[in-house]
Amino acid sequence: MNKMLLLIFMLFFSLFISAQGNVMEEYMYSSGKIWVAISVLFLILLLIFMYLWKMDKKIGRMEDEFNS
Amino acid sequence: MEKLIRQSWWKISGILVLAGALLFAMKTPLSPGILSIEKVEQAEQTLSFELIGYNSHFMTSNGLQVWIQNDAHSYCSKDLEIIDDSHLLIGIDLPEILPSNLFSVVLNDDIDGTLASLDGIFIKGNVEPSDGNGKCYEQVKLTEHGYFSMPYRTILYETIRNLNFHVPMWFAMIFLTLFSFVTAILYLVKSDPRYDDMTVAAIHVAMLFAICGLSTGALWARFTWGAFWTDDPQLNGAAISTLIYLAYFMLRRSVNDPDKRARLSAVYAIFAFIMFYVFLKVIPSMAEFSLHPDTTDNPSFKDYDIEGKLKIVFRTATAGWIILSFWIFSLRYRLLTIERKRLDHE
Amino acid sequence: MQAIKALIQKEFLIDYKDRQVWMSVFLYVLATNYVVYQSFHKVKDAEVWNALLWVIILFAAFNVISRSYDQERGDREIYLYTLASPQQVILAKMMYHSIFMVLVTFFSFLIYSFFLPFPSAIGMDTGLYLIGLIGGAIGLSTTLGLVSAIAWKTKGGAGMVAILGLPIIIPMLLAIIRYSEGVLNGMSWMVLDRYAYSLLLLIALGASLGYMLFPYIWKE
Repeated sequence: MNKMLLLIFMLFFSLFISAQGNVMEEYMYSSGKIWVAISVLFLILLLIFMYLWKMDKKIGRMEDEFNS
Repeated sequence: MEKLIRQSWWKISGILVLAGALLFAMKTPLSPGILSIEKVEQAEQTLSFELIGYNSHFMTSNGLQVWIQNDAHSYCSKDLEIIDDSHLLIGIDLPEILPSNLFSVVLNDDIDGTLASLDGIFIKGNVEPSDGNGKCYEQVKLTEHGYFSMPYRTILYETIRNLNFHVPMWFAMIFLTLFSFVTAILYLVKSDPRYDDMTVAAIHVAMLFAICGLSTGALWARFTWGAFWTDDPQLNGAAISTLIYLAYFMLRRSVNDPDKRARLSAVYAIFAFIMFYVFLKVIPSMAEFSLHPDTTDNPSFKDYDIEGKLKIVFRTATAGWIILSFWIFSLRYRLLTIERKRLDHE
Repeated sequence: MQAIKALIQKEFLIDYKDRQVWMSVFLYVLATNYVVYQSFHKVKDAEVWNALLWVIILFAAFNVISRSYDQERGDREIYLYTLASPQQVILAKMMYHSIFMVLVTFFSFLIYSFFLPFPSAIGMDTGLYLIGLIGGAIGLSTTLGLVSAIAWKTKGGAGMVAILGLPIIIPMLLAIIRYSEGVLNGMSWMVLDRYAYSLLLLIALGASLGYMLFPYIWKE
């Protein structure tokens, strides 16, 4: 499920990447597009956070099971 | 420490700090700057060129002034035509004898503040270093732009935002290797196997961050310096330090007896950290030439961040990344502890 | 101090008794130099000449220092524990290897210059170059001293010395090569002193870390 979401977001993002000829023009993107980068970044951070949280809980359970 | 590792308040606040810092890092606009000087035409005593600005507000600002400057000599613009928010057409009257061939182009208005393109324009003509007769600079009132922004730097432009990713990853690695150094010494002093677990876990996660740091650095270099890797002392030091720590894992793998393994790897970890610090910081500071900022003659980011705004975001981001790295380390350490206890019980 | 002298003497006598070790090192140096000569025939650049020389010396150093703990297996190990303190052992080994490496370096330099002539430049200070050779030899042997001690305790053998030692040796080797290259090109001390200082720093670090950490490797 998570992988599907990530794939869809990446495809969405790729619509905005067009072949830029002049190097100067690349710097002058409109500030609206920065939200795409920010949302991709936050999605990745969220995924990392969820994974670590899940690991944390699992290890906590293993430790409790071991100590009892 | 064991109790602290199990609590979640610092983990959640770490993630929030990191998320907040990165949001700021990506969303704050870049300071205005002069992107380039184009179509320089020189005819007798007049010079005309097109000035292209970045994130500039030429149309909405007041008091727009442009002049060319070399030390104390400045020549103001005679014709100033605003094409749009970032394009200007400038015409300047030149004297017969110039004080120098290389001039900086300076711009000032109330929204953008003072922008300069250092040594940005080359003027053909007779040169005689003299008093010069251009003093229009003194009639101009310089201003600073008022809003929160990232510094504008040539070569880097927008990629300066990477400062909140690449550098904190290296700081996290340095933090973890320092941590492993301390726990290795503690192991040799106290012979408690927990410290050995801590050392291994710390170096494991440090390697993860080193790889991230190297790859972000390589990508950044590709877009700013043109190549993925250059012959730079700090890059060489970073690569070699990564190799040293990878050799640490080879060492652990080749010894079977747990006590001997722990002891030998603690010795190597101490040795490796000292070498790592020397290779990353001491040797590059003795080098002659480097592309990295803040080494040899290159200006550091501090020089351009006059109001200290970049510093706040950067330090918050570093704190966030270090907390994240410590969380990953703590997970690894807990796993190793469980494995060791399981082995002890059998 | 007496103990250290005695230990150095012991190292020397053990190697003298079985001179095969020395012979194999010198043969290795000779063979490598000859192979390089045959591959290149003539080296015009001072930089390439210098770099090749130091690579040969580097591998000779690995060859020499990998064998340093070969004698200390089994019963002899326990006997050595009773004789001297670990600090004395490591200092003696480092000193012995430094002296030996200096000899091997000069030997390699002579053979190398015999086949591929020494490119002397105008304004070159030969004394500085020779000091560079000595410094490099001492640097290689002190740094590899600790690494080979760690490798001794593992079952990895000579391969382990290479894996552990190469990353650590690289910056030192870089400093040495840049220094020697600078001397060959006739640069003055003002420019080269930074390399000499980094080399000295690395030697001091290697020796002091070896001195402090060897007791922990030593105990069983």
